[in-house]
Amino acid sequence: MRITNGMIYRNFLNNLFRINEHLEEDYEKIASGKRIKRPSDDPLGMARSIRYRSYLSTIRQYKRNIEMAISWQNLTESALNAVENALQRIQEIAISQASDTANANTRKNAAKEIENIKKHILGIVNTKFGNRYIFAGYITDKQPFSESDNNYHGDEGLIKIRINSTTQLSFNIPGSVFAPADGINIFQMIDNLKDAMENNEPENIRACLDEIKQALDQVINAQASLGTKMNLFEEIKVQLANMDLDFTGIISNTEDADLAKVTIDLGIYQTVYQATLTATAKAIPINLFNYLG
Amino acid sequence: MISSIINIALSGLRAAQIALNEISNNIANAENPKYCRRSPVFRENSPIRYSSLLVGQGVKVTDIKREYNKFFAIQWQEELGLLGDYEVKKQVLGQIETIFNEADGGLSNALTEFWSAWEDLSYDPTSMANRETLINKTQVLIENFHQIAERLHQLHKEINGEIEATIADINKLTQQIAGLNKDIKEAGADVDSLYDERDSLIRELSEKVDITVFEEDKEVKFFLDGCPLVEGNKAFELKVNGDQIVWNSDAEIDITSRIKKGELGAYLRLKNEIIPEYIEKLDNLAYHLVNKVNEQHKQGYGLDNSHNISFFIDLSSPEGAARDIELNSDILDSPNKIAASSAPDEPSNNENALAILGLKDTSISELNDTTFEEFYSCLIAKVGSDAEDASSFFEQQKLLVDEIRDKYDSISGVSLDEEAVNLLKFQYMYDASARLISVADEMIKTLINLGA
Repeated sequence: MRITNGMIYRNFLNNLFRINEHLEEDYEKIASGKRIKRPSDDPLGMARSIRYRSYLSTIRQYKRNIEMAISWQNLTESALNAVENALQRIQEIAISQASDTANANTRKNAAKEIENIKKHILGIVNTKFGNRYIFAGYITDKQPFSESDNNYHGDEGLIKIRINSTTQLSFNIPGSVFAPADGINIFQMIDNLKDAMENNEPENIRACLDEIKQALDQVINAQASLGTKMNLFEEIKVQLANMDLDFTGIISNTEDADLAKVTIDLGIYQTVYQATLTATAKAIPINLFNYLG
Repeated sequence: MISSIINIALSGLRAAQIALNEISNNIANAENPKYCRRSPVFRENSPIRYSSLLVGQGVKVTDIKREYNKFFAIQWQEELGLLGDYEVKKQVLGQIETIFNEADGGLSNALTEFWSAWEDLSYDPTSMANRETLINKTQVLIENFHQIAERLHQLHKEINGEIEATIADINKLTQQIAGLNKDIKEAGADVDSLYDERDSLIRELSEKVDITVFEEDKEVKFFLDGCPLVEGNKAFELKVNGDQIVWNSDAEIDITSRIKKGELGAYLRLKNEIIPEYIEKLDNLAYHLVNKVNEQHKQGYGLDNSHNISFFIDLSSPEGAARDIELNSDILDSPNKIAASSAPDEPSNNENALAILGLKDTSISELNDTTFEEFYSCLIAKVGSDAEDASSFFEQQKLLVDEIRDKYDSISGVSLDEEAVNLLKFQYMYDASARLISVADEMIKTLINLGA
């Protein structure tokens, strides 16, 4: 084949452009640390990376949901413990005042203490997390219990969060646990006990002992089911943290440049670039005219 | 006999001069891309019968040959159509990729954050901060839709301008070629420089639009899928007529669908198919997002017990949805109207927010049974693979064209080494011919001096 000067120049330029393109690509990869800078670098990889990034962000969101729910539950747990302690104190008082060693005077004093404990419990069951009453079901903007009556003013609403795309878990306990329709209304029970104390009626005090025990059981059951749920939440949180790590790794594998490989490639292309320049610089100026007198 | 030696020497001198002239012309045009190498064609003058012998009578240059291979020239010209096609697509699709700007977050990120804001709201629907954040994230999402749609529409408009400009170029080229047809025919003799010029214009035209070239009787004529663009000295204009490209003979014939290759073909595909497809998909995504979210949102109750309120402004059709998507101004003015609850007077009821969040993972039948996020990532994959295809087709086509051009050049190109050798060769031929004259001169002198 006849090789003309035009062909030599053109091929030289094409080669230089091509090598430069590779160099530019490698520089870009090293500078950004990313293998995929635009969709056309790897359309499927880009689509995958969009999906993975969205999964990752969702997983982190679920983790955040769980963490917020856990703080709510921690507060709920403390509140239930406090109610339990208060009921135990009431139980102690009732037992001691039911005995024959007690008299009208001690019972009157006990009635005062019981009234104070009721106020204390009312304070606890009206606890707020942020702006929300934690024992009010959905109606978190209204105090669930008041001193004027012993009724529950909230509802049975269970506030749920998403922990994956198909599962929702509730994290609150409606205040009806303190005044269930088919159980002991703690506040009514306390009022009854207080009346019995004030009126110095040991029979009625003894009758209350059974109700106190039931009320304690109600609270303890609520604590138990809350504890189970909290364990579940903690477990899910650990799972989500693991998934977070996994997906961060997968995204990095999809998007990130293999710097060792890119650096080696870059070295190769730099060498090729220099060799091409040297060879061309030697070849191009030479033709027969250089040697003709 | 001696005088015939002088004549022969003279013919050699002349032939060598002509050859040297063409060599200098070749060297002068070595870097002229349009130029085809020329070489002299020598023929021996008819010999004269001398008694029983045929005696040679020297040489003459009968032709200056344009070194040209028609087959390679046509192949080159034909492959240029695809080269122009892919080059335009590569460039425009590269631009579209940056419009979607996915590497730096982009719409997919805004969509994820939109759902995230709903999640936060579902945890605490009573929080004004959560409500405000949702509104902000929604506006970022809307802004992303607007920007991508706006820039795609802008690009669409720019391509209309490119089509007009390309058509103007094509009309100019066909007129020039028709003019050259006329010049070549009228010149009578072979006018190599006009051929070079015409070939170069035809190649330029081939990059712009797909044409089939025929050459007969020194004239070229060519057709765009059956419609002549140049016939003899007549050029037929193309014209833009609304969305159509019309072939401007007496009856304006719509030839839009017949243009398949070249820069014009690429611009038309981009304008009529590729960009509208992207816009349509983006519109569909926006429309169904608005629809589904609104549908669910209307079921719920706001903190102020507002009910049956749209979250986005309702859209009547997918067309233009990505440009028209807007937050309902009622929601913007009063974030309490965001309906997280499934019943009135239950501030921490988040059932409706959870139902809206359910949309995130729902396959939408109107979006080919994909979720919103999957649908968008498919669109990005489509944009990316279109751009990748155009770019790799362009590289392949460029290699092919370069290869054909090398073949063409191996015949038509100027090699300086070769010219240097020829230069020496014909210089010696000239020297030797001149030397012959002085030999003949001495022979004549010898003859004259015989009698002295």
